[in-house]
Amino acid sequence: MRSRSLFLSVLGLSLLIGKAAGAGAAHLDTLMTDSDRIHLLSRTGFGASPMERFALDGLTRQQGIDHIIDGLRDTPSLAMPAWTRHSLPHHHRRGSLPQAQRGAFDQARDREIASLRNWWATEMLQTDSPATERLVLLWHDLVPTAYRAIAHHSLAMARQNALFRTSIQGDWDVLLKSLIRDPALLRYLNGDRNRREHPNENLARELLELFTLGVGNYDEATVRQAARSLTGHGVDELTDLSFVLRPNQKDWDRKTLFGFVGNFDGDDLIDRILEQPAAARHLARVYWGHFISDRKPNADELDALAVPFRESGHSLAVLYRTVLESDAFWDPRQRATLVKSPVDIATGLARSLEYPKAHWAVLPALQASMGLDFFDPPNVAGWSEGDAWLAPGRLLARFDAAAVLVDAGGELTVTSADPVAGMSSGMMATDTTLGDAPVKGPRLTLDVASEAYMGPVQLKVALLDAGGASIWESAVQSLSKGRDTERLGRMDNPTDLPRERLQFAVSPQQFRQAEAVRVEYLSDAAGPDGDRNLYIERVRLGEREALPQGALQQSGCPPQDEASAGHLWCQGTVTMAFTRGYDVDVDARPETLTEGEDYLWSASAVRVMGANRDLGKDTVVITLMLEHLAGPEEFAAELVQIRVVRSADGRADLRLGSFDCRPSDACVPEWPKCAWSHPRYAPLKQLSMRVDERGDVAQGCAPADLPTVSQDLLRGVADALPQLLEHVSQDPQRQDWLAFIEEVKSGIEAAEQTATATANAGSRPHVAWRIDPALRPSTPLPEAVALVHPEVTEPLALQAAAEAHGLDPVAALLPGVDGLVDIIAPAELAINERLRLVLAHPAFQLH
Amino acid sequence: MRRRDWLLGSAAFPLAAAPLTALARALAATPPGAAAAALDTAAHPLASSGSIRRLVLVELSGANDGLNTVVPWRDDNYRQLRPTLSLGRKDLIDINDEIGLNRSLAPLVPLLDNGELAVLQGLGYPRSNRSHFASIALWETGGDGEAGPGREGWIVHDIEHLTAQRVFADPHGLSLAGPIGPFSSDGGRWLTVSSVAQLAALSVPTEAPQAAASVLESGADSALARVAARVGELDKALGVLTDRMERAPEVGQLGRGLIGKQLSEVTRFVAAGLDTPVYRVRHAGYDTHNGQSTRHPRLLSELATSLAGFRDAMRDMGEWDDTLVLTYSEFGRRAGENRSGGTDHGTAAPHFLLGGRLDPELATSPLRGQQPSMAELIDGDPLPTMDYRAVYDRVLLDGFGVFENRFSSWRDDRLNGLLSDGA
Repeated sequence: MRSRSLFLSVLGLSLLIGKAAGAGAAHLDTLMTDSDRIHLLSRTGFGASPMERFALDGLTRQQGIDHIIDGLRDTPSLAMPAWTRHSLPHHHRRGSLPQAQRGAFDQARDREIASLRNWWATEMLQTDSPATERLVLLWHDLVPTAYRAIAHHSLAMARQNALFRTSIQGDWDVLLKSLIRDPALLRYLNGDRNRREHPNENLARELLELFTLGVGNYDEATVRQAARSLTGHGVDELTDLSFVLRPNQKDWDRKTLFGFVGNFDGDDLIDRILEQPAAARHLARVYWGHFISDRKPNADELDALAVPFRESGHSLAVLYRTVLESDAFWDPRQRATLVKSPVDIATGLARSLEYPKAHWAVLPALQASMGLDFFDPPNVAGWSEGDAWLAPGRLLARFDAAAVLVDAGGELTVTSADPVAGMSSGMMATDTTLGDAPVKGPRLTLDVASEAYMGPVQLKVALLDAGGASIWESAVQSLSKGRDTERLGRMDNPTDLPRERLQFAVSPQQFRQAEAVRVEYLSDAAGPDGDRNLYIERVRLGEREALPQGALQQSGCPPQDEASAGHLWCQGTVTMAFTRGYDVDVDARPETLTEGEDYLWSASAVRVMGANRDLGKDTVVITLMLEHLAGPEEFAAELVQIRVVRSADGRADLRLGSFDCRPSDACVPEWPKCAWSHPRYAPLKQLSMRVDERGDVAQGCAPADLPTVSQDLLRGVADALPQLLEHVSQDPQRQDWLAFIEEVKSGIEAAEQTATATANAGSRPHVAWRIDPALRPSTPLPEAVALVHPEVTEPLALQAAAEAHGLDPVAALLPGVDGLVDIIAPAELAINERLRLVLAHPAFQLH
Repeated sequence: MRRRDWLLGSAAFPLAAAPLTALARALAATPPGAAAAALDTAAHPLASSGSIRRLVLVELSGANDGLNTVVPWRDDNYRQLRPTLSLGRKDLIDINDEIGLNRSLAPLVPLLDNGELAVLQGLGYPRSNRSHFASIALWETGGDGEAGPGREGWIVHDIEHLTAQRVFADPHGLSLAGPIGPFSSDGGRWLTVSSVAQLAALSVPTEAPQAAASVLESGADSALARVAARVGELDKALGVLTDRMERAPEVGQLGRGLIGKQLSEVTRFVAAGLDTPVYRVRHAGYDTHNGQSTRHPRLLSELATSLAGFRDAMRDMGEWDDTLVLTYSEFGRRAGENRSGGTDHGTAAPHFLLGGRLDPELATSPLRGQQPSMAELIDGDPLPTMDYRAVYDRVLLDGFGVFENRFSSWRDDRLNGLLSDGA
């Protein structure tokens, strides 16, 4: 039988390709064959696109490597979603939001991470340097952080991704020193809870075990000392979500690390670790397993990577280049030994074939079904690689993903008449608007996701007036992008479903009258192998937004928690009132703290964030948060945190620190020299002002030393302090702190009465404050980012493209081994038949 | 509160009754053939080799805090080590004058009273590894801190040996969540699936079995041959499964959360007449470095509700006597609490064994083994009092009838009679 004899020769791969290339760098001067090019592209990137193969045509191996390395980027070709550049979400408020609004807050963050997934998948698809994305993904896998485990801190994940981008060609120690300060990783491994009094070993242990040395190269005592070296690391959530040292939680004492004794901190720890020869070998082993072979390297092979890496001062650029230039990387015996990751399967296939499919929108979800979900690695060891990708359930998912992406029975088209020229001129158009053509005039916009089953979701939308009467109703709408649950199964998280947008023009009168919106789900269906459901994400009418969270659902199976009221699993309606954003204070009323209409200071909210008694110093400390604060001389700050410290002798101070204001220079544009700063951590500074005397020297600064802005702010708060404390004491959620608030408030009032009686110091000036929730800017849910939809210019059969450039696109789906594609899918067969054979073949699983 | 009080109070537990009704409805809709197949013990390949037909492994992922699960409430050391997290008698279901179970486990009280639940105390292994993934790999492959992990899942070898003696087409193991873990193997039909629906919907491409067979015929030892072998195994398993799954009845949600969902799917597989000897489910979130006082009770409550619902469903199908449920976890948590309101990685921990045919004496006391001493801590951790592999041996020996198994050398007399003899 023909196929059998051919397989015999395929398996003796060396027979086809010849012996391993000789020692030394000579082999790097040989011209690359097409299978060399596919090997280089597939191992360094995702698949091998026709354009990339064309670009490497006629180059030597060395030139090919240079091409890959020269192309590495430190910023993405497609900008991260806009929300990553917006102001930080108000995480400090989350805990005090009512349940439905908290659900909306969380959903907003989930939506952000979903858009970041889509963005990354898109970048991987369209970038001109897939090698960059592979390296970033490798680092995400090697030093994993799972979004689900870091309490909705989507922005920290985005920033970590940016950190990896700027680090892939840098020095390892620099990257590690950034990582022990990385807010996402600190949260994930409890590094922000590692305190002098009681060290938390989680980060230290994984740093030694997984990130640098590997088991057997350190002992338990080292773990404890390493944890002590990393104490005091924190995250500044208020001003910047950046690293901050908490000097009082830091262990400043002597530690012993690998036989050295010193007052080591985190940076010293990294230096001590990297002095261990095991460190370079550890990372070299990781790169070997990722880029070269599933076989463990022998000592010589490992040294060939680890020694230059170590001698270069742990330059990751040197390690990467050494890997690609190694004999082993090009050795034919190492080809077809690495199991493709889910990204190699899906994104690699999409890049290799270069043709559009509507199903590309589910690319991140497909990869997740095969076991790799961006920003959610399964545990601190990252994804299990190699044969773990071939566990039966996953193998099924891989076959299925390939079928979804290629649908080899269907009509095959490429994206432009000339795939090579098309790619180089920017073939893809980015569609970030989620869909349909804009509608003129006032608009009602619905973002929904759905699951389809034996047909799509159908729905109707109505606008209601204040009395609940319908003033406008849409025709029946059929959703087109629902996930086919019969074919693809269900997903755990509706946020990951592809969204679609419906837009309707409404008349100006309807626009003004509308107070609520009702969505009616008309076509429920379910079966043993699927389910049809509608998920309402957001509804907007001009500036206003209607939240599904906490809305009224009337259906056969309303969800039990009100945060999910927008999930229609059964036929029925959801009725939502319009508000101005997902985190407005629904029940709060504006309040002016002194009589009259005039006021100097205004805030959208004043809250108490904490209150406690410091028994050691016998003081009571109350932390106030002032939001969207505006005052004289155009003072404006988004958030200001001020501590009120009342000591046993009756004195009260206001304290304002260097991490207490957003934007960080709004409250103290320039720190005066006289300001207190922490003796061991200079960035931690503080101004202080006595409340009763409103401006006495405190902690070294006379009032005149303070910037005018800071003086005004502290005086403004001091003057109205009893009223502000009275205001926060009415917060029903903070009743446990009431006693502290009362104590401080009555203390200040008593002191003032005494002062007025004895020294005739004059009465408290009337500085009026207004606290009005309407001053909070509206915060619509962040926009989702749709995946890139490739633009179809002129359909063309892949076969024709292959003829035009002498490139067989099907070959790029297989490992870079000469002759393999001719045996598995001979060129004389029809293109559909060839694709079917290749995707069903075990060799497709490898590269 | 006394255990009896909990039982009396269980009527107030709204979830206890709900899954039963759902299941009853589902079973009513079962085609007669499927129910018959499910109950036809004679057809079962393992029927004569031991007393059970299936083992359900429940991974408590993240490392369950054993000390606040099976609580030595009278021990002063315990209270001193945990100034804020320690539980007092009022927080517990009484077991004896020293030990109580976390009250969040109340849904399991009927099992306690029937002798269907054993508490295996102080399980661990030599030279404990405190890394999550390293230690779970040891538990799942039968290794320890000295020998390292085994090459394949702990249950794989003996189950494959058993099934090899018969014509047996069903999957050897189904993992409902998480990585393949205890089922990792070079061959065999060990599948990860999330649901019955997923199984029925997926298939290998038509050309795949032929391509795999061609590669295997050439007999080379390579990555390619490994992939081909897996494709071949998968194809075989799917053929049988698809057939069975077409008969799978609907089953309502048992218990709560993802663990309840996974156990509902296990129930569906069983109801469909699938003769898979091992299932693995996974309950995640136990890594309570902080916020333990709220997180841990919620987890235990979710677990207990789901296990109780599963037991009721299996009993209603007449399958509970042939079923064993075993929990496992990476390690226990450190005896002393940390300053984050949580606990860090530790060593020894208790685990639960549940089943319809356990030692009836368990109704008197469910405890087996010995509570580790709180007075003698090594590096802040209690010492294990029993090797966890003694439990594996007992499951293989008394459960599946494999006298000489991978873990025979850890055989422990304290577990004699734990699985009663199918009377």
